[in-house]
Amino acid sequence: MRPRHADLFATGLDDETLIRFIDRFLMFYIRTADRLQRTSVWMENLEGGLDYLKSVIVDDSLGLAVDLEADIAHLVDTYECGWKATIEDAEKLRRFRTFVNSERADDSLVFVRERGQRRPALSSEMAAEVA
Amino acid sequence: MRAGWTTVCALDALVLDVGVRARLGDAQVAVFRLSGRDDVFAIDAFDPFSNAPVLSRGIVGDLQGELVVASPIYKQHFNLRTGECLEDATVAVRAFAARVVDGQVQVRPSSCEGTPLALPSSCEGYPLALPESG
Repeated sequence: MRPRHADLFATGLDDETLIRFIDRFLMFYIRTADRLQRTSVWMENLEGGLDYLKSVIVDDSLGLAVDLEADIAHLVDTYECGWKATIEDAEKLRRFRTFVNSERADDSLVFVRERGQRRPALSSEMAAEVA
Repeated sequence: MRAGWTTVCALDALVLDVGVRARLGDAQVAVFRLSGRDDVFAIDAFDPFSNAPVLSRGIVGDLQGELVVASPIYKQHFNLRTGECLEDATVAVRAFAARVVDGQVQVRPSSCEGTPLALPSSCEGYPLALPESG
């Protein structure tokens, strides 16, 4: 991996084109990169490098643009926030109750303040609290 | 608390294969119902290895022929029937008798056999301290 600031990919794009290129770029990366591979490493391994990537994204040299954009549209359309879905679903929320038979907070949790922040008490501090 | 069954919740308040935590007098119990079974299990929710009442959040399964829950913190397994720790025979959590009557889950608070709860030597420090790496 070689550190570098950035590579200039395209200039003078209107917003719509810019987003379309980003969509194509991201989906091409998702489709072809190894898992957890950085974009920079991915690009270095592409035969033809930046110029090749430009031809795929900007000039649609592989004829993939329509597919790539459709994939991104599918992602955007079907995205669901797991947290929001849980908050809005009583059935899922049941899993997050502290006690099934009490609304009281869990008094076995003991915190102390250190440097203005809350942290769990050490067992020695808990003993002192109880004593 | 004297012997006797205490109703902790309706059976349908339990989520299959996921524990719930219930107050039982001063104790906190982890109550489990497993898919494919009609019975229920209750053990102390307090995990002696992490000093935190988290056993209701563990993953249930069977290990060495025993129904167990794995502590979500350090992953020791506790027998759902006896409370015994499978990894360390000197450690056990309390196990409570549990039953279902008329769609209600009942737990018997006094069913603890009086075994003193042995604390593992590694329990000093932060309750949720991460194990040392390496």
